[in-house]
Amino acid sequence: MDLPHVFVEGDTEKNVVIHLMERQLSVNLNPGWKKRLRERKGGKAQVIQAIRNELGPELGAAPVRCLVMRDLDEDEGESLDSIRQSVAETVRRLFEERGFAKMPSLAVHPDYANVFTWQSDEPDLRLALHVAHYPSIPGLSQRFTKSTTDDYVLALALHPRTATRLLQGIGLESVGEAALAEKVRQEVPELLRRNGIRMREAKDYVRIYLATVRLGMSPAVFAGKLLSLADEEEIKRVFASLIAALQFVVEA
Amino acid sequence: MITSIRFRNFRGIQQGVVSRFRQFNLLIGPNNAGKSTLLEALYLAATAGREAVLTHQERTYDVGVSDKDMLGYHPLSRVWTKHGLPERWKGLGRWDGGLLRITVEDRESALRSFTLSTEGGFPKGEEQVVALFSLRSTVRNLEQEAEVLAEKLGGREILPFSGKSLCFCWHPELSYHRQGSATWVIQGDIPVPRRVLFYEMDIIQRHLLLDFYQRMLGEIPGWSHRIAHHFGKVFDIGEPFSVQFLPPAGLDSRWEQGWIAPEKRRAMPIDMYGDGARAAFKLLTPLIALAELTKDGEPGLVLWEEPELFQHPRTLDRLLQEVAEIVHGKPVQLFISSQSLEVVACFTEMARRGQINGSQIIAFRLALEEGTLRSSWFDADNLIAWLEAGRDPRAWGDELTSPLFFSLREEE
Repeated sequence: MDLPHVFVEGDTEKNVVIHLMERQLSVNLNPGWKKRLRERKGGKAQVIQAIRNELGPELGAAPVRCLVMRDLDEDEGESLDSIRQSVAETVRRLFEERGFAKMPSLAVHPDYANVFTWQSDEPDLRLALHVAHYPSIPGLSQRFTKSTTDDYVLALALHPRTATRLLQGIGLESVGEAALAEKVRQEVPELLRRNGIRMREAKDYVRIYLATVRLGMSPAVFAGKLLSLADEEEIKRVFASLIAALQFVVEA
Repeated sequence: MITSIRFRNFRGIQQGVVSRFRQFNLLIGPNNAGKSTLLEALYLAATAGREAVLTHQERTYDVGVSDKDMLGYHPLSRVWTKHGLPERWKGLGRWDGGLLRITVEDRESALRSFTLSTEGGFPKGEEQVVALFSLRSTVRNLEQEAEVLAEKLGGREILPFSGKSLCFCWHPELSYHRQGSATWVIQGDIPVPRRVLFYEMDIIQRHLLLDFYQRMLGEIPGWSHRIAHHFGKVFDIGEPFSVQFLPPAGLDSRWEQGWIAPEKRRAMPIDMYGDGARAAFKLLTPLIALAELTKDGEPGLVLWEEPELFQHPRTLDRLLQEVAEIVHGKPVQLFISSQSLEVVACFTEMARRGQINGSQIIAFRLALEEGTLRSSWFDADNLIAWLEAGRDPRAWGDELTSPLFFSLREEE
């Protein structure tokens, strides 16, 4: 099987993909695939540059399998369609530079509006774009202006069965998942709000979650830990769109 | 500058194109991928600079046939002997009072028989070493007629012919599957033979030809001093020394041998040093001269096989840096074939540091599949990204276990 390239913006996305792969929830890959997974810290400009620099030499010389994971920064005027066009333009420029006269057109995945795919025979390329766009996090009324993979992580962390497993794993069963959820969703955010601190994105809630359960780790490391112990069916439900994107990329 | 090459039936390459050449061109890829073939094709094309006239069906064309290269060697003989063939080859043509009458073995060739003449006539014996001509689109050649002949030999894909040079070789051993003829077309400015340096393993064993030594001594001010300067940097030699040239003991007078003469110790011929020192010395000696002989409009060409040969990685790194310094700002184009990741990494690092202009470096990963040459290029940004990501440009996927693999495994 051809090893996929995975272009992500940060460590959270990287850890999520690694653990999805390790738990074999999407596909069973040669262990060497990890070598292709390099996060591009610093945002979308770096991701676009990395696509050009890393994929270019392989185009036309070897089958290329590629997943691009992007945040959706609605506060900066981004939309699902503008990201789709941006990635398509990046691939078009790459093709032009490498002498392929093709116009990439990323199609919306039949089941997920935030997944876009494109397949080409010459050069041999399968590309999927996953844009973070989680429908809504149960019990949380706040709408974030920035959609990230942390939305998915938070949704999974707040799931009763997953939260219970986590609390058991760290010896805090006595807290109870319902109380934990209440503190993360309401109590602490309300306290912060009263002190003039606004919650902007899901990562802020993840940090409250970590503080509440006294876990001294970054949200990115937590994402990996969570996926390693969460209920399989729940992971599949929360990360369904990302799993669909991965499956498209590695399909024979 | 040479910008591209297109092959048809030359050695193991039935067809293929490599383009986007820059000043520094690294050729990487597995064995039998066409790296040496590409170097040899460039070498033979660039040394086909001796003026001759080709006559075919009552038309005449100005062509070039092989001339001695910078070091004074006959290019075809050098390539043949490299492949275990004798220096002279009977049956390439018939000498006829100063004319060469050529009959091409290849029944499919558009050029089966023709004559070659040159001012003063070819001396007898040349019919055994002349096996290719170069047709260039020059003012002297009627452009249209040259284009018609070039198209017959190279196919429609070489058109328009302007700015190109076509090589036609009728040595059966150098053609694909002994078909009998080969053509390759080069685009861009090709240097004259005396500014073409082909450096491969065989050179390490040889001394300098006296003729080359005397010419350079007259033309390159401070040549020996500069060789000592760069050689000393490569091997980090602290004590003062000079470079001298003397006829080698026990050999005829056609040769000169380099000596390293420390101020406070006895001098020793370079050939008594280790192979790495010999290899570096015998590259730097002509390279310094070549760089000095070039200027705008009079370019030079260096074809260098496997710089890593005999070199410790640290010495190799310093040697490559010296080479880059010697050709800095000079119209010298380098084609370097290598199996070494260190060579790739060294040039990438020089580009990253700005020691060489990043836009002037490119690496080609070559692959030969059933006679078809394929290439994939890496510019400086590609190389930096790949090496930073722990990927090996010499191979895709998990084809090989490189040192980077171990580094990454640690990280994981």
